[in-house]
Amino acid sequence: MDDALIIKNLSKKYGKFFALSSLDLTVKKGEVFGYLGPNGAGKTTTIRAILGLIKPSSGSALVFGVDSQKNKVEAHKKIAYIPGEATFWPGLTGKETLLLLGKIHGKVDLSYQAELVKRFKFDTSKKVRTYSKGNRQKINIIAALMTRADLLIMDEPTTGLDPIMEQAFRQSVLEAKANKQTVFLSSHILEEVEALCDRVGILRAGKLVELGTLSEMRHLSALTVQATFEAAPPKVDHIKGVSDVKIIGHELICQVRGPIAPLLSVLVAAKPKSLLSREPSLEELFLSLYGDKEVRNLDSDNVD
Amino acid sequence: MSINTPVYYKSPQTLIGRFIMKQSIRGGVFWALIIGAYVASKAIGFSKAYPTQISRDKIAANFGSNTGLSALLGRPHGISTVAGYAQWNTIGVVVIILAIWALLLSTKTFRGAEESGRWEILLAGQTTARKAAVNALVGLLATMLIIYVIVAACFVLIGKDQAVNIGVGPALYFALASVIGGALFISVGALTSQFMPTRSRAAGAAATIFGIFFLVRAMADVTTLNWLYYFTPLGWIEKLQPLYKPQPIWLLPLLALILFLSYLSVYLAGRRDMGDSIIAEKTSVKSSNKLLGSPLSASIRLNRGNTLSWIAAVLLVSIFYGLLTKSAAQAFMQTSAVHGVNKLLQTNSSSASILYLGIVFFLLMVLIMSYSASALGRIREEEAQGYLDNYLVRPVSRYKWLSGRILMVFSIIILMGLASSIGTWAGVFSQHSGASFHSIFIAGFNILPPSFLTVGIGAIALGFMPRLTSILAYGAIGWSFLIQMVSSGINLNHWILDTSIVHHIELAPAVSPNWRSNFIILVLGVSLCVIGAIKFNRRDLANE
Ligand SMILES: Nc1ncnc2c1ncn2[C@@H]1O[C@H](COP(=O)(O)OP(=O)(O)OP(=O)(O)O)[C@@H](O)[C@H]1O
Ligand SMILES: [Mg+2]
Repeated sequence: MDDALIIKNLSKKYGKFFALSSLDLTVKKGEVFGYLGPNGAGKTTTIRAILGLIKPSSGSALVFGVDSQKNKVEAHKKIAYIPGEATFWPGLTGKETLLLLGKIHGKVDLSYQAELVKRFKFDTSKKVRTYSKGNRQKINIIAALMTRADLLIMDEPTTGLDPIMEQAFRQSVLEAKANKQTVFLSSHILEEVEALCDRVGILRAGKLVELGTLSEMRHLSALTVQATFEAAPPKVDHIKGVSDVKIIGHELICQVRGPIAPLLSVLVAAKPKSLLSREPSLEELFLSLYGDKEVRNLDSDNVD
Repeated sequence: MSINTPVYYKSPQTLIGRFIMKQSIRGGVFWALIIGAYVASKAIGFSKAYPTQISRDKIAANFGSNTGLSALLGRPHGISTVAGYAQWNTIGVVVIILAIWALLLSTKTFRGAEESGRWEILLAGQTTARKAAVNALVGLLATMLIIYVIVAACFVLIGKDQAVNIGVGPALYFALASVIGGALFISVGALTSQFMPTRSRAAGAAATIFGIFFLVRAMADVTTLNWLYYFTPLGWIEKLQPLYKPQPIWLLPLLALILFLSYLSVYLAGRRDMGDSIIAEKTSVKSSNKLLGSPLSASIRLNRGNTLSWIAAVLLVSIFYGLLTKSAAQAFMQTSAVHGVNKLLQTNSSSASILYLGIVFFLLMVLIMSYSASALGRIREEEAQGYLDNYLVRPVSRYKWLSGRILMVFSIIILMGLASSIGTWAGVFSQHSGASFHSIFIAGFNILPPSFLTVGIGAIALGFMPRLTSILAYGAIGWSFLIQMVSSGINLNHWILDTSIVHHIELAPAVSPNWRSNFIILVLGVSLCVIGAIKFNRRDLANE
């Protein structure tokens, strides 16, 4: 069995609205999978359906071969979950909460727990009511990681964490990976996804629109070309494969898909001072995939 | 890009008040109508049941010296008149209902909103902590005002009935005396919300204050210690006597107290930090590993304070009314009085102290049913707040969690039955008044089936309409109480009577229990729990 998570035809309808429609997705064992998508795309819906907190309208999810709807308890023994928001019992202390969560899960690596508490500089002696938002989120993170569960499902796990804690979190995920645990990470922090994930799926309006490794995706997508000239840049709009042309003073930035030679010959003819071409960052990929008209328009407003 | 002219909303200064009023108005209208119906049934029922002055004098003579009823309703004045009877028989009950509703509402509005962080969002607007508190108070008092208007309208209409015959002026004053207790406990709840760090503790403190006021008033009613009236606002309300020899002067201390408590709440709201309380919680505490091994034991730990207070309340109420058995019994000798009580309890008994204990157990039954409704409400809260997620994303089945919680509520209901037997018996025994331990013990268990049924109704709601869990569970109690009260004055169709979940309980020790119908009610309750649990297992979790 090489697959940690197999999602088949998973849908969730709210009235007539499909929050998630016929999702098929497989996450391999030992893989760190990034799950992206704009607000309201259906990421949390997917995760809550996998966990059986909501009942899917159709489809199923297998966690190491166990149907997570039909046999929730068995499936959950293999899962640890980090939600993006923590609601813990305000009257219990951090320590008591971790104890309770550990007992319920049934399996805890205590020395690793102690290490995590130290790494995240978490003061366990306070009542949950009095923790700050980020400190409360640390309970979620520690409680999940300390179980060393086979599948870690995370939904915006670093909300509220400061940059140092964010680093500690990345280290912990890499440790989990080294430990052959599988990670399903939904996040809006693209840098985090870029740094951690082997494969990425992008969800939009309940449907998976992209799936693959980051380098595969980069390949498919446009190259960014940036050139500076002595005078006004040449016209490139008409060239096949060129899009998103932006001109800022003497500088030209555009995207190109497919063969790059026609564009280059026009640019070189205009004697550029500098010429730069690079693969898109995940952020640029993300923006080009996400019905991003508003974002682009804002940029051009600034230019005008 | 052009900048558009912003929209300015009307009077942001009063926004919070209007918002809070809007949120509380539905409950307010509901209770106002219940009160109207209740008073109508009492007044009209009395005038029909005792049409002649002779019959009224007779019942007055009997009730007049009934200590047990005095402890519940207050001292009777002029109850040989319809007005006097209506006043005596209704204000006491109406004040209890409105006061409890008001203190729950007020602590929810103040401390509940602050605890959940909603208050902070409101405060970020064009306001200050004090202005917001004033706003909230005004909003809640405006709701009380609307309750007053509805109740007053009902009373005026009732007064127009030939047989009842209460003038418009006295009807308005009567309504004021009925509703002012609600306003008082709005301000009490606002104040305890300033002191306590959590909503449940704020509500607990306000309820304790109510309990003390109530017991002091009840003491004054049943003893000759008249000065005790001065020390309890519920005594002042009793002294208003709107329909018989009115003493409106007592409105002054009541209004003064409401204003003072309101002022104090607003003052304290401005002095402390958001989210803080005057009685602060220790931030660092010693952790204890006790009772954290499973969801069930954790829920025992997290609910123990609340549960113990409920059990203590049952125990105290039963001891208190048990103590009054002997003196109450002496007042019950005449058959016409007994007839009225018999009708209330649907009984046909003649032994006075036993009959009185029937009423006591009726009250205890309603109290334990209220516990059941509140316990189901807490189970739903656990889901709504998201605490339940913490269990269900781990290897815990929904069945196991819910059945654990429900069985725990069942056990506590049984404990409460035991507490009510022991308490009543302790009271009765210390007075050497008749009733045997055996019969009281049986009576304690006889009143439990409706509580199980209440749990069942709550569980069904939890499965099918989770957001209505509390409303439906309490609604079933309110409805049954109302039907029971109304049916003691007016003959109701038996189909309507059957919808009351207490109707089929024979109130021991006044009558011998009907174990067959008890068993049916119990089975019904448990079946509803099972159906509710099956549906709960299949539905989406519904967080707030
Ligand atoms: N209980 C519900 N009833 C109706 N619609 C819902 C419900 N829960 C979620 N939705 C809708 O389903 C869609 C997907 O929501 P979901 O929470 O999965 O988005 P998300 O991808 O996690 O977004 P975000 O990045 O903001 O967390 C949204 O349009 C949301 O409004
Ligand atoms: Mg989400």
